[in-house]
Amino acid sequence: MTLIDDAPAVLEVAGLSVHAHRRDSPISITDDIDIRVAAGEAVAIVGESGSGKSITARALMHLLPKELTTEGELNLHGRSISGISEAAMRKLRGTEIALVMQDPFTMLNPLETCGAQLTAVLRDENGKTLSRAERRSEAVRRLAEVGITDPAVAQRYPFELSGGMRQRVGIAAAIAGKPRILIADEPTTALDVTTQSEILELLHQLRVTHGIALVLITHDLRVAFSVADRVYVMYAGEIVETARSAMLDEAPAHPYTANLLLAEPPLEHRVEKLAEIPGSVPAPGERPTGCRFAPRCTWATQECTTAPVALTEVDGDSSHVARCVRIDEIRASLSDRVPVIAGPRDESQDARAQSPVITTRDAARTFGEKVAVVGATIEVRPGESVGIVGESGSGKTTLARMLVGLTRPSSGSVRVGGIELAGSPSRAEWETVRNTVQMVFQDPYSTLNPSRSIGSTLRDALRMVSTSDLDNRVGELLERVGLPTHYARRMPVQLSGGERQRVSIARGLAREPDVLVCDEVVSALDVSVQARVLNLLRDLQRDTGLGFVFITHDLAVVRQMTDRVYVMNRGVVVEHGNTDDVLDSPTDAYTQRLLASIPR
Amino acid sequence: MTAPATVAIPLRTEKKRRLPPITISIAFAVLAIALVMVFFPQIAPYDPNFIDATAILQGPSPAHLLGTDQLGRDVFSRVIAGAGTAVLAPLLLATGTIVVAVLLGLAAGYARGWVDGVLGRVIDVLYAIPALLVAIVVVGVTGGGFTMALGILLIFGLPSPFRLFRAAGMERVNLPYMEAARAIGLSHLRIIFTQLLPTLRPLLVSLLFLQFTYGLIEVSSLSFLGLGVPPGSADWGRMMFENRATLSSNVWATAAPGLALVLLAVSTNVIGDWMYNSHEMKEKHR
Repeated sequence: MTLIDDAPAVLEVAGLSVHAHRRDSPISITDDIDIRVAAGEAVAIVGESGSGKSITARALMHLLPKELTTEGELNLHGRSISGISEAAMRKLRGTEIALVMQDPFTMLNPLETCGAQLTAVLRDENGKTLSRAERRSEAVRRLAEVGITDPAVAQRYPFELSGGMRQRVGIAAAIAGKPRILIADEPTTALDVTTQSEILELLHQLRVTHGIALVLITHDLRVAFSVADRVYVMYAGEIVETARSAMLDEAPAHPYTANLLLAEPPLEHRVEKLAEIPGSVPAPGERPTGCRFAPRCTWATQECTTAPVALTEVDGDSSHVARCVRIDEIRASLSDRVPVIAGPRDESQDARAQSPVITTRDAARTFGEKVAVVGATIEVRPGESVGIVGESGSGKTTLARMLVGLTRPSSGSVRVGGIELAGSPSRAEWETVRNTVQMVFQDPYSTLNPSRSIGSTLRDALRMVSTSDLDNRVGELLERVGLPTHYARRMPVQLSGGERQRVSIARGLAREPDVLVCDEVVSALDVSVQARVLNLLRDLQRDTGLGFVFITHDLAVVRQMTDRVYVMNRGVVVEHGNTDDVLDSPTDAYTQRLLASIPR
Repeated sequence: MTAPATVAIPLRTEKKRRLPPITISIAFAVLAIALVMVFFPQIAPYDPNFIDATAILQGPSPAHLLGTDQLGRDVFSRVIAGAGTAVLAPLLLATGTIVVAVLLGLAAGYARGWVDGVLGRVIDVLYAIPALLVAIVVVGVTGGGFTMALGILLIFGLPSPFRLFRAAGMERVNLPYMEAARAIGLSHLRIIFTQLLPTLRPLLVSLLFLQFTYGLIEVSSLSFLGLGVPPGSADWGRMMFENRATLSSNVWATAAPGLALVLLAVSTNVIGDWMYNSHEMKEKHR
């Protein structure tokens, strides 16, 4: 798809700013956003959390909460919709501009059938509601539009459908009024990678068949590149760079974009070290005056911090603009920064020879009728990093929980440090298990007790080893995960997601286990933060010989972090082997499908 | 806070019913006055039990701010003296109820299984029986006095807080930080006391005030019915009971303790509400 620069814009945003009003002074959340979408074009707005991308999407729909005020020009087909009434805006929503939400699990009404939700607003030419038969056929026709060919779905309730199906129904509802612009806010973030690729393909199809222009909001540059013609990169409430997808991928001009691309773990090969971005995104109200990225930018100089930076053209290309004063000076060094590809893994490691720390044999777990793990046989040797990869419902988390004794196997064997967990281990045997394997949990926001300080959480864990010198050992533990020792006095709410996850890792390390089970530890983190946590884990493995079991859905993370991998599907290990072998030449059909679904 | 964490800008803001600051100030002032009366009863101008036969059933005057009752005792002094039982008895009751409810409720919510089953059914039975009625019958028949009345109110006051803590325990027991505590090897008792209990702090504080309000009304009701405190005691409920016959001669002898009761009950309720809300806001404000 090519962009015709002088094609009429269906959506034009100029100088859009959103403010929050806290007590006396307004705090700006987004500043001076300019976006132009041509008819049938797909653009993406990419940014990490706190960039203001979702706020922007809602501002376009006039769907912001009353506490937030907007400024700037919004034009739909050349017609200003900036100050129009709610009643007038309501007429435009759905028919001119529509929104697909992020979470397919909450966006549909659980008490109404999908068909009813698709046809609720329909009226015939005379403004009358349609007959039952008409509504039914209309619902079926619309479901077919989004690739659901089974007419029975119209009669089903949302909870009877998978996440991907629900997202399709959500899209069908959004395009019901034949809008010319579809805004999709992280439409695939909650979905598995294979489902994601189907939904992205569907969005692409709709552009072709319906001529709908697409505004995709996402945190994932790869997803943006695979769908959008042009990409807007947002950082701390402003657009820092805009270019055609291919251009942005190959030659990013803004250090933030460049860093973001580098921080993304590559799928194809293992790198020596993932690029990190130091610091974190400044909160609204705490943003620096000059370039907002300057405090985290390795190229920043005096001139970056003095005055706000304007968007300037890159290389005289009017479609490529970036908000950086040093564009021309740093161009060369930006493109120089390529990650060092790691050499072949050290096969001489004697890990293979050593006897495994963890072995499971046909370990199965059922919850009532539901079979979570059908029977998994895996081995983890000392100092080895093993990946367990699969989509939601594959049973990978249940398997991980069996390894640390949080879930007991229904049948089969799970041996950790020589102790059989399927039996009933004694108190002393449990101690051995706890000293052998520890776990780090997925969600950084619930992994730490909100009412206890970081220090007391870590002391709880350290006390299990010995009660002497606790404060110093807390300090050492924090230093090992790269946090300052005074963090011991902080409460979890004062920490960012990445910091919490590092505390969680520190807690796992407190008992000096041989193996750390990491359950999706980075999936809730932004790319730049994720890189830092992954680097930390790799350093720990190299320096202390710690072994890992990495539970993840992300094959790129598997590539970076693991020596061997088990691929799980529907509670069964379908393929296993050395990570490079499995990812480079998968033999199982499911693994192949998984790899093919990844946007690149 | 020096939090580097991002300030969450709410996409959906919920309107919260918030009490005006003036209401909260008044509530605290009332509580402060009540506490002064509890700890410094000597501020009363008269001995609350001093019978002055020459000044029976007088209306308010500079000598007797709220007049006198049928035995010529100073109503104002008796209201001050009554603050003692009015504050301490419900406080004792509330604390006792909460301590027992926390222990049983968390045990049931954390352990589930048969523990939950047995405790739950016992509590269901208690729930079905009105506490005040049992207290009236038992204390009235046995003449058991104040301690027995408090004991009965405590046991029958358990169901609501028990269910609250059971639910809280059940809700939290599978949260990742609780699982992490189990994975690290902490014992169940340690987990309950060091992990679970601190997260209940806002609930405990607000519940203390709420239970206090309930207790105040229940204890006073008993006194009003002539049970509990011995006859002639300077107790607000008792005063209302004893003076209701002479309502037309000195209305203050009945109204003043009643008013004191209402003010204290409303104030503690407001304070409890405010404390819970402010804590909740702090939790949410990441």
